[in-house]
Amino acid sequence: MNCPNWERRLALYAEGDLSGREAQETEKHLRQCAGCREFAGGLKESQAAVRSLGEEEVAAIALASVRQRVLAEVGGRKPSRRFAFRWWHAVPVGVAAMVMALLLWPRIPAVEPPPVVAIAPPPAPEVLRPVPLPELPQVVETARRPRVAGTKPAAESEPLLVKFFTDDPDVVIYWIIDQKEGKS
Amino acid sequence: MQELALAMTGEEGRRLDSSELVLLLRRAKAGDVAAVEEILLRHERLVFRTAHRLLGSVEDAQDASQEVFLRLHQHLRCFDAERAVAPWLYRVTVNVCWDIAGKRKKDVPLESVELAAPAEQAADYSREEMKRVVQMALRRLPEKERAALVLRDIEGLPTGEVARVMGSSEATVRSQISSARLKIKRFADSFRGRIR
Repeated sequence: MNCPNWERRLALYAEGDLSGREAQETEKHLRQCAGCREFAGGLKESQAAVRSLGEEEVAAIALASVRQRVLAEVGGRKPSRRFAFRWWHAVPVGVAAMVMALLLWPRIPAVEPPPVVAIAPPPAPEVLRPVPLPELPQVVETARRPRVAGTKPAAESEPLLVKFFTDDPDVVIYWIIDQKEGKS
Repeated sequence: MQELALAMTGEEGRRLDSSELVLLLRRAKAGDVAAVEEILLRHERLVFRTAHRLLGSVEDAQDASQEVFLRLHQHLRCFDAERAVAPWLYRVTVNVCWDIAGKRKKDVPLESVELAAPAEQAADYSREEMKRVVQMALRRLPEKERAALVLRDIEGLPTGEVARVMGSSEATVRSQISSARLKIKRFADSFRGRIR
């Protein structure tokens, strides 16, 4: 290639991107320049390969996957413009809030403290008196003599008297136990 | 504009009449999920193919396509009979892909690429090999040149429409596509020199 100035023009000529006059000038040059003809031939070859990329079949599974993802995202909601919050969106909202505050200010009653309600303390719980239980018979040891050191306790030989009191004051049960023989 | 929309949405024989599109959009705006699915079916190849060429990976292209169609759903109210969907889809696809690419690794300039010979070195530089080399070169183009080339040479949009999609002038797009074509040719030439 001896004509670098023609390269860009030849690149456009290869796909018909030159105007009529430019194309005629290029064809005239190609008739005269073997190097440029070879260069143009190489361009046609590489461009044919570029164009062939558009003939490739797209994998159906790749398309189906995209379709599925999009429909899953889109399904169930109506199309709407995406609302992107910008700082100036806050201006009308703030102005509207101030206007509302000014309009409503005199009408808002002063906040009174809540009335104090005297609450009486709850009555003390009634103490229940215990129900008198029936008296059980009392066991009373009687006639027990003190022990004398160095001597054999006399109680072992004397009978033990056990007195039972019943509900009836007139009835008393005496139980005499003979400690020697363990008889009563 | 409507003629352009017709030309741009005719995929695999699924040419979309403008009145049909208006009806679909109306149903989709009303929340009809079936209509949304129909719009998806009619435009998914356009979006996915463009995203795949711009990003170079199926997973990234799927993510980009999902984002594009969710944005379309959010902006359905903006569309009517006067505004075609396809040019909008191209524009949003390019922007979404640039966003995704920005989060990935930076472009590797073609000049600094260490060329690797293919595993099976064939004496004949076949069409398939040429295609693979071009794919490699495409991934290494600067993103604006890549987008211009994909839209013009692969998607077949007119230069003026590419300029509108990319938000630039026709002169800029012409400069980008000529630069991209030259880089790809040089990449292919150097690759060819290695395997021969």
